[in-house]
Order: sequence, then structure tokens, then C-alpha cells
Amino acid sequence: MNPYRILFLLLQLGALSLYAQNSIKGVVVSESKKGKLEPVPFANVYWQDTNIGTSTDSSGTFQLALSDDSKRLIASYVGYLSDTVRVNDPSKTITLQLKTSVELEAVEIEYRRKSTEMSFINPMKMEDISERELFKAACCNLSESFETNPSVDVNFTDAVTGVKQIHMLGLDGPYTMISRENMPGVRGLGNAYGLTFIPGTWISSIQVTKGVGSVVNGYESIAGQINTELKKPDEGEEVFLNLFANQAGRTELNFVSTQRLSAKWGTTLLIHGNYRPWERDRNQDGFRDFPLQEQINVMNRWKYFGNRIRGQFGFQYVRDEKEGGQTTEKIEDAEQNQAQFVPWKLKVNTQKAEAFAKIGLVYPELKYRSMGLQLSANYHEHNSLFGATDYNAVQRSTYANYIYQSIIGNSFHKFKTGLSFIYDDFDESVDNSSFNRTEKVPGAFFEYTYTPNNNITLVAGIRADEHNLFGTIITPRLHFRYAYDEQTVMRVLGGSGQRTANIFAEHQAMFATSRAISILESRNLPYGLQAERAWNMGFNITRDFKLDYRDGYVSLDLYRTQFEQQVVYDLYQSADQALFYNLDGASFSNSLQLEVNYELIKFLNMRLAYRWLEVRTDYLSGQKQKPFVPKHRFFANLGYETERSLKGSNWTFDLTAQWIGTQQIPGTETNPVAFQRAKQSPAFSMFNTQVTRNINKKWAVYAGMENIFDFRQDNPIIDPNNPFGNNFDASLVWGPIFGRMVYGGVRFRIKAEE
Amino acid sequence: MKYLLLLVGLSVGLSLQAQEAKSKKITESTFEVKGVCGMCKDRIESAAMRTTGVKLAEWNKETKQLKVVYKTKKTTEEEIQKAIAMKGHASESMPKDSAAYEKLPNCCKYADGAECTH
Repeated sequence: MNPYRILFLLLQLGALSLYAQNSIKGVVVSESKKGKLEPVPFANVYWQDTNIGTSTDSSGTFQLALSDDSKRLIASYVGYLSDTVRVNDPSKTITLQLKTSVELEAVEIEYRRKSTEMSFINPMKMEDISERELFKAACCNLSESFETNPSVDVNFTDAVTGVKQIHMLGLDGPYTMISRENMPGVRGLGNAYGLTFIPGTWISSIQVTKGVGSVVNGYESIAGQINTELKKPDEGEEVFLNLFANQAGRTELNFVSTQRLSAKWGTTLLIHGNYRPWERDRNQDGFRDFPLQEQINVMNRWKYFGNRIRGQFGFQYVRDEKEGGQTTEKIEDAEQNQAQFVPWKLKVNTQKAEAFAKIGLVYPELKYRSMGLQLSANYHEHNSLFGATDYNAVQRSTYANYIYQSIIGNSFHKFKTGLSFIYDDFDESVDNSSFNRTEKVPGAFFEYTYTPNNNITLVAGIRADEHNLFGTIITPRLHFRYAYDEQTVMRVLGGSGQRTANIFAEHQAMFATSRAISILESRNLPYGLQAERAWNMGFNITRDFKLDYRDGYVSLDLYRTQFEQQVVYDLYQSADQALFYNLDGASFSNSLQLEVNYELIKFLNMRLAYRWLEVRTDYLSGQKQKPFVPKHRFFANLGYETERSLKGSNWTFDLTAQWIGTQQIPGTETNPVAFQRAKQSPAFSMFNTQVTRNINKKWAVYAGMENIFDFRQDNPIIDPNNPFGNNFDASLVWGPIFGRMVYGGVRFRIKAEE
Repeated sequence: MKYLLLLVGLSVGLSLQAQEAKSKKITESTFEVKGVCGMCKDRIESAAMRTTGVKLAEWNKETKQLKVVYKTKKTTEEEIQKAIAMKGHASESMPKDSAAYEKLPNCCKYADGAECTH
């Protein structure tokens, strides 16, 4: 039935109203698979909380007596989600629209939602980490938000900066595209410390997708995509306050305030400050285990929600200062005994300013059609000193992405297409050498989604980008989902990705060593090196099960990433060198992950995962397993929640255990015997726990302990007494440096009245 | 590899446990519970689930019917209704706890004509 016929029906009904008093007329419709509205015959229509009701006739129309008790009219039909309409003017005809049951399922699962969920419908295997999951590990920023997630590893990068890096599929953080609300989030210089500029309590949810992502978001994702959604004006609390402190003196304050100025305008202010004033050196090597730190981070964002136009814009400013290196005690001591003592100091100062905007245009009458424009501009300044090495860099970036979305014929065939432009300007200097480059990349993309029924989704995308330095980049990507039955879903994906390596920003740990840094290429390209290009393919099968009325799922992931071109960072050559060169030969990562989620006893959720990784690269010295990548990892998480009282008080308990297998360590056999290290790290376990007491709907207190059994890497720094000597190396870090850490905090929130 | 085996062992163990559960006396019943919509649904289902012996609770906000599955040795329909009433939601044969009802948010006060807004 076409829209004109519905219009005709409505007109007919309008004519009827001339004769009938004290009653209301309308039509019940639903959207067909072709995206058209069709009448629903024999649907139930009734006034809420009354016994007054009727059903629609064969043409989907109805007439119903008015009710004194209720103004809310409900239409319902088996297999559909019902629609409720408030009737203010009974003389007007009413259209009630039923939604199909696919959406109904999504609503029904709302109760007892898991804090991390795997989407059944999404063509990409996406793990959605909610705020509740993030609360399980209260500390502190995005890099630490994955402590309770088996898909993302969090590793220390070195023994001086205290910064943690994430890994996916065994590949370094930069191979994962980190986006903020599907716009560039952590890129370029941000790859080093950018994750620490996204405070955990600003995040409302995180989506983790392994393998190549959608072409709509660019060509950069290789190992996966991590998208963070921050708190927005239309959701989130009116006021949120979080105060955190740990035994080492790290103090954090987070404040989020949302104001809905009108039905259409809202604004959110997010403030984060963190302060680490105390010096700690538990392993007595004369170096601070982590630097003193000060960070101030502010964001203000606005949202406009009109009928046709939806827009968001905002600003962020971050200033972060770190001071590490040798301890004051060590320096004072040495200055007394040595006349010409030069202390080894670490200073990292970062300033970042960003402005972003999103403008969307929707067609209320044509729901399937919309267009959007994403814009952002970013200034990032990084100044650092590692002992005697200066590393300074500035990045200026702009990004624009225009997306048009519609259907071809009917809603079985959807597409997104658009144009993008990336501008990146880098000025970097390492001591006296400078490295400048400007990347300009206009691009176009087309992504087609085929959904013939609920069981099959095919997403085929392609994009073409014209890179001013690396030439044309063609990026095909394919995602296929097949639901075998209502519990089992399979996904296959494949595609390519490309990125420019920022060799200094991504490997700053090498500045905390005595290694001589050399680039073994000299082409007229950034750093003389090629772009990195890889193919990724993956397979996933997830099966939901119900055992004894409780839900669970089993999931198996297989991924392979194969590099066509790669910038190899080689520490294997010798203990005195850090080499960069273009890959000659093979470089790949194979990964397998098996995961079981189940509610073991009522309200006790269990998550077990095993992961196997093989990441090998052809180095100058032959094919080797990538250093600091554990081949085996085992993960277990238990979470328990007690009953919520009427006041909103309850307890939550959380325990995470990890077993991390042996890792390769680059050879140190050219060093004197005292400064040699084993070639493999021992396997070790880590246990974290946290208890949260929700006092009422507003207040919560939490306390936790990381690394309960105090496991530490012994002597993480080689030759710490002689940091300007030939053997010094603070980059060979495979385990925790600080050991057990106790923390606690308070949360206060006022939720908007629903 | 040994962890893989452990996982397999665990899942076998779990399914055995499920087999065992089937042999116990489990019953299903449906009754009306007063409420408005989403928030009430959470509260009603949670109250029922927190009752020892209840394995499943699903409240339909349109029909106001609550379906429960429970072990007859551990609890009764009346006990479940009582637990729900203690959270402020009345059922046919069990009046609400007035003090708890007063503490409900305004949008959940079904006896005072609250309406579903979403």
C-alpha cells in the first residue's frame, strides 16, 4: 500500500468525524521491509489503564469512544512493539505506528543487561562496554579502562613514563583506530599519551570491534577499532562528581555537569584534574617508578536536537605535565659524592586543543534518509626531555567527513556514501634533527548494506583516498553476518588498512635507553619510510545459551593480520641499537580467542577467556616473535551485585584474574654480564579487586586493590646507576613496576528525573 | 592448551548441572502486578529475582502480567508477591506496602494515575 492510500484513508476518517461525536478515529500502521508505511488490520487499540478498546478493521482504521480516565492511546499487535500516543485534540485523526519485533527484542533485554554486551544484530562483532563495566575498575583513563576486558591488553611501555599502551590482536596501540564518537580521537602524536587524555568517568560507553572497521570512518583501522562515547547533553547525569586517590598519591577529580536549556538545546561541561605529587621508588633503582604528574582537562559540548537538524559541537583543552627520572634522593646523594653529576630527568609536557562539530539532517517523513557532516580541528604540542635527548613535536590537524545515507529501492538495500578530507601537519625534532611533513588526503567512500532478513547482513565498503605523499589508497572492506539460528551467529570480515607510522611518538620508550636510533631508509617520504599497509581477516562465532534460566554466551574469534608494508621497529639487532626500516619479507599476527560468559549463580557473572597470539616479523636478524607479546593469556572476571534497596543502596564486588604467558625480550648479550637479561620473561599472574558501596541513588564509595599479590618485574631498568652510559635501558618492560596498589574514591551523582 | 581443556571441562560441568536442575521441582506461574512502565519493570522483576528460588521473572508492561519460574521447594507464589509488594507494587491478592509505595518516583505511582511517558 502506498502513502497516498494512507493519506486517502485519513481523509476518509476525517470526513467521518463530521458525523461522530465523543469518539476518536485513526489508523494503525507499521513500516514494511521496503521502508513504506502499511496499515495493520486487527490491531488492538485501547486507552491506557482502562477497559475501553477496539481493534482496527481490515484497512487498519479504527474508531473508539473517548475516555474520561485516560488520554493515552495504545496500539498493540502480536509481534510488534506497541505505540502510545497522547491525545490532546480528539477531533484530529491519529496515526499509531507499530515497530517490528526486532526492535522489540532490543527493548526486552533491557532488564538485567550485562555490563558488557555482544551485539547479536550488528554485522561487526562489537563488544559494548557500558559505564557499569567501567565502574568495575575505577582508575582512571581510557588506557586503564580495559582491565576487565580480555580483548584489549594494557601494557606498560617503559620504566620511566608510567604510561600504559593498549594492544589488540597482539599489535601495538596505533594499529587500532581510536575514535571518539566516530570521529578521529587518538591519532598521530596522540598515539603516545592520547589515551590518558580521555578520563574514564567522562565515558558513557566504549565499543570494541576487532579487525578492520567501516570505511565510513577512514582507512586507518587495521587491528581494530575502539570507539568511545562521552557523556552527552541528552543523557547522562545532571551532576557527576568523582574523587579518586591511591596509595601512591595519585589524586583525581572529575566533574560532569549537564544542563538541558530547552527542549532542543543542551550542554555538558566535563572537567578532569589529576595530580601525582609524591615520589615513589619501590624497587630502589634510583628512578621514580612513575613521574610526578599534573593534568587539567576541560571539555564543553553542546547539542541541538531539532526536528530536521541535529547538531553537536564542542571544545576540549588538555594540559599535562610529567616529571620523572632519577629521584630527588638519588640526585642529592650523587651531587654530594660526584663533582660533575648530571641527573637523568624526564619531562613530558603536552598541550592539546580541539574543536569539533557534527551536523545531521534527517528527513522525518523518510526515516531511511539522512546526511551528516563531521568536522574537527586539533592542535597538539608535545615537548619532552629524556635524559639528554630532546623530542619536541607539534601536530595541526583538520578533519571533515560528509556522510549521506539512504536506500536503494527498499530497505533491504541501504547505503552510505560521502567524502572526507584529512589534513595533518607535523613538525618534529629529535635533538638537532628535524622531521616535517604535511599530509593532505581527500577521499571518497561508498558502503552498501544488504539485509534481506534478520539472519543475514552483508556490508561491503570501498574507499579511495588520494594521499599527497603515498599516492592513491584503495581500501576495500567486507563484513558478513549470518545467524544460523536464534542463538548462533557467525561473522566473517576482511579488508585492508593503511597508516603513516609516527616512529618517534609511538616509540618514545627508546629515548629512555642508550640505544642509537637509526633509520635505514632515505626515500623522500616521511622519515624516509613507507606507509604501513596490512590486510586483515577474521572469523567469529558466538552462541548464546540459557542454562537453568540464566544467560550466557560462548564466542570464538580467529583473526589474521598480514602486513604488505610495515615500518619495522627492531630492538633485536643489538642492545645498542634501535632500528627502523621497511619490512622486507613477512610480518603477520594470528590470534585466537575463546570466551565464555555466564551467570554462574544468580547475580554472579563470570567471564573466562583464553587468548593465543602469534605475532612474527622478518627482522634483519631473521623471523622472530614480536617482543613483549605474550603467546598465551588467560583471563577470568567475576562480578557480583547484591539487591538494591528502595533507597538505591547495594554492594558490588568484582575480581579479575589474569595469567600472562612468557614474552620475548630483545637480546642483551652484547652487554657486560651484569647488564644482561633473560631472553624470555617468566609467566605471571595478576589479581585485581574492587568493592563498591552504593549508599543511595546519589552517593557511592569504592575501594580496590590492583595486583593483590604484589607481582613486580625485578630491575626493570638496566644499569640505572649509569643512565648516560652505554648499557642503560628502561624500555625492556614486560610486567608491572609498582606492584600492589590500593585505591579508593567517592562518586556523587544526581540523575535527571526520567 | 591446558586452559582450553579447562574451559571445555567447565562447559561440560555446567551442562551437567543444568541436567540436574531439570529434575528438581520447578513451576511456572503468571499473575498480575500493578505498575506503569520501564522503571517499574526493573523493580518488579528485580524484587522477584531476588527472592530465593526464583529463576526467571518477566513483567509485561502492557498486560501487567508477571511470569515467574521458581523452585517449589524454596518459595511460593505468595512469597514472591510479598517481596514485590514490599517494593511498593501490589498484585491481585497482595496489597502494596504503603511506605515503599510512597518512596517510588512519581512516574511509577500507578495508584495515582502515573502514565507511561516512554
